[in-house]
Amino acid sequence: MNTHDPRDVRARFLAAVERVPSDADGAARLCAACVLALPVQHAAIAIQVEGVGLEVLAATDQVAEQVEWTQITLGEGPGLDAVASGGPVALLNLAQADGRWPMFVPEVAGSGIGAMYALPLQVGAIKVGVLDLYCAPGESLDAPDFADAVSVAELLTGVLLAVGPDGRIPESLGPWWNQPLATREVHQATGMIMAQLGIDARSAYVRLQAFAFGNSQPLRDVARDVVGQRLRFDPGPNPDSSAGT
Amino acid sequence: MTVDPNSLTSATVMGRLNKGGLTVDDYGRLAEAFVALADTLVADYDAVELSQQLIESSMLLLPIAAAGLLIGDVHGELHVLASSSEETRLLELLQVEADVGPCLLAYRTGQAVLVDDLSVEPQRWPAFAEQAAEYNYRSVSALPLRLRNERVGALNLFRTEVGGLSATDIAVGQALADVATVGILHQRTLTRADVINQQLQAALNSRVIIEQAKGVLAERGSIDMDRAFELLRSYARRNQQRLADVARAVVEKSDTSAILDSEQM
Repeated sequence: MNTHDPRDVRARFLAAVERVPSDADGAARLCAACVLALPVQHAAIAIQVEGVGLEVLAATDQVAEQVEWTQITLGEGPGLDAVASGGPVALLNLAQADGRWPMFVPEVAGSGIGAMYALPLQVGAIKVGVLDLYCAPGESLDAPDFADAVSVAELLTGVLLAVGPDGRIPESLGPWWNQPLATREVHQATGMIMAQLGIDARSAYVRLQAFAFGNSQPLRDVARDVVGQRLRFDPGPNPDSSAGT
Repeated sequence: MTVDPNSLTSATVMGRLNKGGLTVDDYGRLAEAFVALADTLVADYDAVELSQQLIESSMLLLPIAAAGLLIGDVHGELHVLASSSEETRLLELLQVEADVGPCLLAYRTGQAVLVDDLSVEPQRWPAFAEQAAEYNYRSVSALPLRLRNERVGALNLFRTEVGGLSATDIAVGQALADVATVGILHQRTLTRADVINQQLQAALNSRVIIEQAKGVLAERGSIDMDRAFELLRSYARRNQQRLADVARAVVEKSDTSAILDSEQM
């Protein structure tokens, strides 16, 4: 609902990552950077594990970790709803939660948290996980802050896609933080590569990105070549145009 | 979801139409369009399918050559949710218009932007005017999608002739845009900007799932993206499933033979 530039918060977030002491592990640094770059008090990241569901990857502190486990254990909460609906979910006031999460809300009411924002980490059908942000009691995000939080979630999605659920976050986020906007063709190409290689959407997206970075080409240009059938990822009829395996 | 399609359509639409002087035939076509939309609204519909139907209704009811519906993301940037063709050139034109053009203006101001002749004052939006001329579009009407004070997006109607739409046609177009707004947001009672943003982000993500599914089908069936989209939609309709659910199943599971089968017949 505004025209502010999402690049501002990306730069701010990256600077925040640098400020976090590097003895913290990768994912914990990302959570810590959320708290530095956004007006929130706690942050946690849960990731979607194939066949298991959500698991806590990192949290800034015990409060955030506890709330995270509570919703996973109970099987209800804003984070789970965000993953299911594909859009952000906000719990602005624990006292007026209107019965949407009848088990979760009483459980976390004494945690000393204010508004909670659950931002899905996803690209279409690729579910990476969820970023949960918690404001101090009585506080909430205004519209520009909320837009910034969505930008951070988009950035984290790119980073987590690149390193995979068990991978270490690279020392420098390098090209991952500064991805161009994904176009329709990027998503179509993802689907085509899935079918060409018989792999899942997440792997296909990562392959597409890796090819683009490896060849110093914009993602959208590579995607356009795939959709236009000038580039294949399997050894197709014309091996010269294959992106290899 | 608590949308009452009857009250929704009759109040807004008929109020406007009475001023317009429609013929009996127009009323008939309009009624059909809204009955089709009401069907979509009472079911567990999804935003992309509803928007696509609105685009098709616009094409049927109005003297236009192309149409596109765009919604704003949390950053205020517009994205195509549905269009009368999946052709790259229309999508690119819509995106140019969304960056600097009547569509962006309609979205930002919440007012209809009617450009009867794009060759007059092309310097208002040079890139858009040039590309529109290249594709032979001579006039455009951009109608805002908004809920009270909140901006949602814009509906764009293109003509290959110079000269804008009549007041009646604009009213019909705006009524369709109003239905789209309610449909995309799922509820009329939404008030807060962040809740509206949540719905819009979810709708945009379901469009991404559809694009991924189109890619899978296009590759497996050796068909183009337009055809892949048609197959997805017709399969969803035949099986009374939500378009987004069918698309997700295509991306998450591997079996697409049932969807692609109708292609071989």
